[in-house]
Amino acid sequence: MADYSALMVYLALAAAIAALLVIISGRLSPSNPSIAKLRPYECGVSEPQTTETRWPVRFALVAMLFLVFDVEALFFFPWAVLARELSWNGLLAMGGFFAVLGVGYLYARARGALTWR
Amino acid sequence: MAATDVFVAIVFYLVAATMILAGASMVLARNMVRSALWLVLTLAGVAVMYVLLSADFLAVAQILVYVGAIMILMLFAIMLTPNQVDLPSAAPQAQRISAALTALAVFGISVFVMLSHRWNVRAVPLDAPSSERLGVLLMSTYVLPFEIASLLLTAGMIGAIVIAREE
Repeated sequence: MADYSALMVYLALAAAIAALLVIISGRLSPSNPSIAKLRPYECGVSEPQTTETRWPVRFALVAMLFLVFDVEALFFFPWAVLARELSWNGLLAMGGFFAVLGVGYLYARARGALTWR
Repeated sequence: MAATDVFVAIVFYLVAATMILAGASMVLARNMVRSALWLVLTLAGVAVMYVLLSADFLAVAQILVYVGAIMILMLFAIMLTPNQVDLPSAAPQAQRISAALTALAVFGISVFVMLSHRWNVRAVPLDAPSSERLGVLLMSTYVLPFEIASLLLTAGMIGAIVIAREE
């Protein structure tokens, strides 16, 4: 096994902090429930609306763009761990990869796909 | 058996049990959003399996792409499909039967392959990080497919914008 002890310490700390925050806020906060308090609300809108409405397709577009840039970020990993050893060859290959996706980025900017209307 | 082997075995069985539970909960959940969230747990378990197999790049890809991006896409797909979030009795009888038959067939084929194939089992777990070797190969031998992948991603991005544009 490669050394994952740092990752495990990190995961354990993250879990411990999350659990601690939940326990502390649960213990310290006064519990005084009433019907009005237990009802779902959103920004003062008291009547809960159904979530099964029609959502703008914009959301799907944002998700798709996120997916593409996510995969782009993923391809940086194998290069980044050996960036020095791969030197100019790697930089050139990565630059080409980045440039092609840059065209897509410019297209998305030009079409206004990254602005929320 | 060394201490690390015991540790790996414990992690494997814990995560495998979690994955089976999460998978079953995903199938049994009546609410599609809950199903999707159970699937997140199952896919995260797959990432741990990749780590145990020394496939660190695949583990990162699993978390970054599947747990992150694909699941967001799935949740948005559920949101964008009206009246499909709760499934009290959505599937008709015929569909249930064919779904059960398909699941049984896939199960049967999987078990058959698992039992009939001669697996090469290593005595010791593979201990070699894969990211570095992948990086070297991607930047040298497979540099062309690597660049084509960026073209494919750009095409996907432009396609999504063209299809989802609002005018």
